[in-house]
Amino acid sequence: MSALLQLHILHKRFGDRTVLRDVSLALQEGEIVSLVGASGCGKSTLLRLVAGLDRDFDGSIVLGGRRLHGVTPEIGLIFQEPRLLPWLNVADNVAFHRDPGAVAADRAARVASLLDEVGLRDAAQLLPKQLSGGMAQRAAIARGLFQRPRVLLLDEPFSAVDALTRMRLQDLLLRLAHEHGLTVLLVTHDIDEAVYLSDRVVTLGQGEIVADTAVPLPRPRNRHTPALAHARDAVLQILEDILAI
Amino acid sequence: MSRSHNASVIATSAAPVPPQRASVRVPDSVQQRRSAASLRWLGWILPLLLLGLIEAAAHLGFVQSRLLPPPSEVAQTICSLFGQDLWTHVAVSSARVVSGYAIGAALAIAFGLLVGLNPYAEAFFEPTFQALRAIPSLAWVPLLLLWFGIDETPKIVLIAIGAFFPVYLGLVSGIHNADRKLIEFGEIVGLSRLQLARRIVLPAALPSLFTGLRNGLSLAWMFLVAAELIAATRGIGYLLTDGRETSRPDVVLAAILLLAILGRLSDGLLKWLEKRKLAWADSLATRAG
Repeated sequence: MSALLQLHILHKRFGDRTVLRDVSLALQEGEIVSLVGASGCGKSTLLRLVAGLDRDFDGSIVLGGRRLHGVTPEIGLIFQEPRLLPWLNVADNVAFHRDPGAVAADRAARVASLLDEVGLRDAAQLLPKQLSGGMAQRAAIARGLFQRPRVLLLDEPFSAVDALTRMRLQDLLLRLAHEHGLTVLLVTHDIDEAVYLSDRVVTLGQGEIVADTAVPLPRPRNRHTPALAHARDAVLQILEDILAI
Repeated sequence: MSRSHNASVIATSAAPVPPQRASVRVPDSVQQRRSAASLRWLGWILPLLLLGLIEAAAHLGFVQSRLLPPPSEVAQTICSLFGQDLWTHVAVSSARVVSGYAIGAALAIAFGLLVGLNPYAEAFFEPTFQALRAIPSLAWVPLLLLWFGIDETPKIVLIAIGAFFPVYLGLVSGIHNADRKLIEFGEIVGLSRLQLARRIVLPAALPSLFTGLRNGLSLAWMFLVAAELIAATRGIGYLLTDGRETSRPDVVLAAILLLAILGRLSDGLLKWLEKRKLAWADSLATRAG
């Protein structure tokens, strides 16, 4: 079976500095893959290339057999901060679309359904300044799903919320990924989060993939089973090895 | 390993956390408005105290009323002016400010959009605008009188010049300081450059534009006085000149008071509009309601 998303990054440079080199990664449909690694190793840069925000690189990104040349509604991106537009209420933020006319017909129903899915049904008319950090990130997730993407990219999406909210948001992401049939590429610093959420954990070091660790555990997962701890320790060991080099 | 030991200790709480409907937290804006209103009376203390002191000093003979008339006399003068042609002066000055401000602000918004959104336009216009901005207002007056005579036109042009630069600078600064992260979000949605400008950059620049509009209005009243002091037969600035020439400090003070009231009222109108349009802003001003 051919992969839904295939990345082949030969080189990505910022000036004279090469930040990504010979990165090849394939994601199967419905797969959840985490990217981990030390700060500055190129994780977020890779995500920006896949999102189409940066087109200045040597290589290719192929989605469903079609080479991409920029942003596409088939790929959604959720940032570290919710980045809600402060002058729009939650419903209008969720429904923010390049062509409002094209989504006008089912806009209200789709927004209501998405807000219901993320637990914000009663917050549709609130402004972003009236939301807590967790609520704002839920709204950002709903917005990321509005365009019906096939692939969802997340750049450290839960790093700014408290531990309990983070666990709730992680479970929300798993539920939504399953219900919407999403393929997910997640950048995170949190190894526990990576192994809990992912089918594979890809470790980047100095702009290269140094390990691709499968997490073959059934779902739903228990956060504290020995198998999950074992997977976490394996990824941690790889990171410690990178640091030791 | 200590990590796995801890895991076994807290295993009872390890099940996936069920999704929870978030509770809605709405700020108590009514209470905030009440507390803001309850503080408003504080602003009246200093002016009332000053008026009382001047009134007492004039009655007790500490100051000469031909130099500083007591507030009661100024009030009488205003009442008597109402019986004459005060409304005409107020109407003429207000019309000049409204016309000049509307022209200046409209041109400033047009040029601000052009310069803020287009780097070529910025490189072309910005050095000239910066040089023009440095010219003191009164330096324009002789030139405007030569070009347009002493009719309404030079006054309105001078006021438009005064209003132009604060509005222009406010808008350009707002556009340049629009949050890069929001623009990046617009790019991921696939907005074109024009859509980005209209749907993200301009709304983000609104707070700065309103600051410019309010500063521009304040300067418009200032430039009105400059214009009417030099060549006018009607208007509040003319009242100032008339009071000085006839040695009537009560008329001068009445005119100053009128300018303060009109300036405050017009600024209050803009402030009201700003609050309505920027209710979304997460700032101390909008929180105070």
